[in-house]
Amino acid sequence: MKFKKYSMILFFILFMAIIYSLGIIKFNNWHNTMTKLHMEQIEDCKSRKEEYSKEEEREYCSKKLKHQEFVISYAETKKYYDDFIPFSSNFFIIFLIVLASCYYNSKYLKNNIISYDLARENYKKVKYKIFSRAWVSALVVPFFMVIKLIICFVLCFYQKGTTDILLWETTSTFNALYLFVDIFIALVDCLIITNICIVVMRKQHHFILSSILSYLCVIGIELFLEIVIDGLLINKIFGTDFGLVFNIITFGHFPDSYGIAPPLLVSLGIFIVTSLFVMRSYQDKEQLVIDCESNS
Amino acid sequence: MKLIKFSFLFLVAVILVETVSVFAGNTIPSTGIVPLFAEIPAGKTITFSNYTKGSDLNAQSYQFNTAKTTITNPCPSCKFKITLYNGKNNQLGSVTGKTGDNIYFDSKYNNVSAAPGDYHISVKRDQVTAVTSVETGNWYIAKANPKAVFQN
Repeated sequence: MKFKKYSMILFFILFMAIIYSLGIIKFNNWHNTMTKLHMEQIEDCKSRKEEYSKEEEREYCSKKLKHQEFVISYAETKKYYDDFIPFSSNFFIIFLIVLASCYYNSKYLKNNIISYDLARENYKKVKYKIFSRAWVSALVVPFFMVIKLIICFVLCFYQKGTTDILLWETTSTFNALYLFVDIFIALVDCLIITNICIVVMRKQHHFILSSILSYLCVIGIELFLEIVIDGLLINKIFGTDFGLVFNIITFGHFPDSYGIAPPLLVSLGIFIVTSLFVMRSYQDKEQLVIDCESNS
Repeated sequence: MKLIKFSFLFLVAVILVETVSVFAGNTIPSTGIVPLFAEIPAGKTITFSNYTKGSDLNAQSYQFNTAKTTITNPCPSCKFKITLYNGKNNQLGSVTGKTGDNIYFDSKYNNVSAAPGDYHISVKRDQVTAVTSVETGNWYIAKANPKAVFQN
């Protein structure tokens, strides 16, 4: 029964594990190719035996011969590993989050299992069971973002180029705080998506329809944030592109041009608003039971 | 009802499928700089065709000139990711930046992009967005770019 409850989440986790593994294989192939290319260029420079026809050639070869090993930093490892993970488009990942959130809960409501549960447990407990089953799927993306950091560290270590983390170069877009906020925003954004699913499932108990409707709602809300809030309000009135921070689908690449606080606060604000909608839509126990009973 | 279901499924499929547009253009201008214009639909990547680099041995870099979206014009904070490929599809490096940035594709430790060969680049919006974005910039393929800096 437990397996059935979480089968879509397990599928999501398995899918993420597979694409991350493929990413490692592709990264290794890329690293081998780059090392080979780098070595060929070094051999070419060595074969010239200091006889250069142009000053540019001398400069190029002196640079090459100075760094004979193909070295990549932790930040670069993360950047390239990100590039090599297939099917990692946020639009696709959001669809998987929606499927995982809707799968068991929609069946639970459609088959009126809630009525049996209400005979044994109070409504508050049943309600939070529904919410928590959906919220579990929001943990997958941030969990794999942490796994990604570990994988990149291991790859960096394994590729010998940087056996220490000394090549960690703190930049405005790459430091420990940035990475932590990136993961935290991803968690909040995923919770927003699952909240939208919970609200949609209140009215639509059919799994496929509720999944598609939830997905379209997420895209619709994103369009509203980008077109109305960003484009028509902030950009047209204040003449700034600050509205970029109003984004719920850009987890993993949050807009940091205005610092880390605005996107974090905006995400938290939208999460609170969607949570209020969730609480409100499940407030009326009788109506929910009637809606579930009407399915049969 | 079935029609509505299939319409929804088709719409979702259209949103999910990632297509790649290819623009023509092969000869490096005499300046050694290739000006680029990329109109990028939501979630898509634009790939440009190959340019053959000679033996100038200049490290390649990219200068981000302007950016806008369907609703935000200009958009100086919009970030784009430019990826440099060598040969058929061998990724050499990538840079992420916003208007005004000027970045080398190579890292401090490896200058692999200076060698002669066939190169092409692809452009995508770094932040995930549901609107179309436009990016213009200069790709310094065969010319030194003293203003460029290393990323990471």
